[in-house]
Amino acid sequence: MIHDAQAGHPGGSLSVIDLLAVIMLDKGRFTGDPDLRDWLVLAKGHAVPALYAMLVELGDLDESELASYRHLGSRLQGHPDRRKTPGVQVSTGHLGQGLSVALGIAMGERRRDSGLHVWAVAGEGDLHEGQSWEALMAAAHHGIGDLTVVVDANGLTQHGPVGRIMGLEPLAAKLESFGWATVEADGHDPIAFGAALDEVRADPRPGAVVARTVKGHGVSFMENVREWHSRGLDDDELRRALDEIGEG
Amino acid sequence: MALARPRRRRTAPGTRRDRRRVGDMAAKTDVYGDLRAPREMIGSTLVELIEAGEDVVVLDGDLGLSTRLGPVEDAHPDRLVQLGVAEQNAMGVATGLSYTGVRPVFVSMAMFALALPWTQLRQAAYAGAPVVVIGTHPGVDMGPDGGTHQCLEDLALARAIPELLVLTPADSAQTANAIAWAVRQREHPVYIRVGRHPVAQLYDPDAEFAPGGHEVIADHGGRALIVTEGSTASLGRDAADALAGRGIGARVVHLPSLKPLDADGIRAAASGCELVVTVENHSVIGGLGDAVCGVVGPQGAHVERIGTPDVFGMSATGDEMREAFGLTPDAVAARIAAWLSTPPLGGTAR
Repeated sequence: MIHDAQAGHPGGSLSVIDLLAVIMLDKGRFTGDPDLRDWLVLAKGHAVPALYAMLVELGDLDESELASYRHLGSRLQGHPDRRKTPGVQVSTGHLGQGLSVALGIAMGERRRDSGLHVWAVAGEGDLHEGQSWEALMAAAHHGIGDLTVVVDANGLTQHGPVGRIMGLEPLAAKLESFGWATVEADGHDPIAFGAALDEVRADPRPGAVVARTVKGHGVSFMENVREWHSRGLDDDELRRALDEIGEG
Repeated sequence: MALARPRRRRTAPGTRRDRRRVGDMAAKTDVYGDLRAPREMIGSTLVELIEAGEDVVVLDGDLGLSTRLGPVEDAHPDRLVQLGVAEQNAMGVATGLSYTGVRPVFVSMAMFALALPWTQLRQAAYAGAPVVVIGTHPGVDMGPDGGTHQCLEDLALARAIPELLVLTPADSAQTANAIAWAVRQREHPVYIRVGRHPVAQLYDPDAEFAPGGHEVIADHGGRALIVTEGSTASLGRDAADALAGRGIGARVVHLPSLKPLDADGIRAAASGCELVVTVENHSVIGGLGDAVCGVVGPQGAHVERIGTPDVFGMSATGDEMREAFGLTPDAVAARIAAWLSTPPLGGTAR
């Protein structure tokens, strides 16, 4: 996708894809009748290639369409678009706004007592926006339990290490202090991450998992390199990357 | 489009709508003889919608006293969700609620309902989320709180968002019906501009609201066409009355919405007039005046825009502000008379 488009966000897509796989293919309900599915809010909308890959796995998209990502006329926009892409439930793109939308959905589902769960996946850039903390505060205040926020804490935003751009730590303690049941886990260990999701869901409070991940995970020349936040791959880079993640 | 038939003159109290449930505090401060503040209708209308079965959830940013949400809090406290002074979050919550079939109505002062969370509303519109946003205290209505709070830009900001409908009801009755219309439809995100300044009652409370269209609310002749957005409708009508007293015949049109905009209707109403004047409780940049210029300007019409100039507001009462900016019937009439006595460079509107 990102190679075909010669643009996109490979680093953050590779850090989040393991998280989406556990949420969408294992812990959540994302198959069958669209009205009976859980909700997935990819607050870090720039990582949408990872979401498109999940929608292929779930059968909402055909793999052949992925090459159209970011091209004129494509259904696969540069950020999630619920009106254009089958399977995309929530449009996002502006960092910091996704958690509020997720909270609104969770409030609406609670009103109709549907039992559907809302999963929001945020990046550290989302948490740099003050609006995210408005949403975190409000969810705890209103006791919204059917909401899980996963932070893809890959430690690197566009321009550099989070600690140097705008420090968030101690992140788990901050979330806990906002009234959220919070667990930290290795985001690339599906067993540990899945257990963390289970643990916070069992708590009546809204749940947060700080998933420690690696930006560009699985591709050695991308890992923890800030330039791979946003750029396309050339033919050689694509070949090397696919070899490393076993798709070559 | 079936618009309400306006009342040409001030209506006597005692209509059905006048007897409806309105909170005591609202009645004390919002009704001035036969002048009424449109905001008084917000809470009571939302209660009626809830009791009619609409799945309304009202979102408040800690301004419910000013925005007249008391009736909702009293009658249906479970439908009033308090989100605190956090308007960006409120707009996002409204967006999410709308996806589940709920009819979210976010009510705040125009500055905080629209201007502050503008990108969040834009994202809602981008996503096709049919949120309802009510902005009160628009233009100079905020008065003494001063320039920080006087939203002279909300129409410009709202008009710029694709797919967002921008409703400008003229009086209490039309405000109630506009809110009801916005909640009952599920297709569009809607911004409703609701005045705090008490105005004369022009519309029939029993009339259905429909966006688009225009209404001729006074017609003394066709030398000048006065076009108004909601909060200036009765001001425009009174200005036309003052002009008639000087032997100058003017026609007054109210637009119940700026989006959709009744371009054909405005052109037809302007036909043959020497002058088209827009009167808005808003900056002359980006609001009603610019919208009308875009419609009749290409025809070569002579258009003059009356509103606040390109300045911030200041602390003063609303009445003092209206005096200062020439938003009074006499001042509007005087400017129109002066323009008509000075031949314009262009021709007449065709």
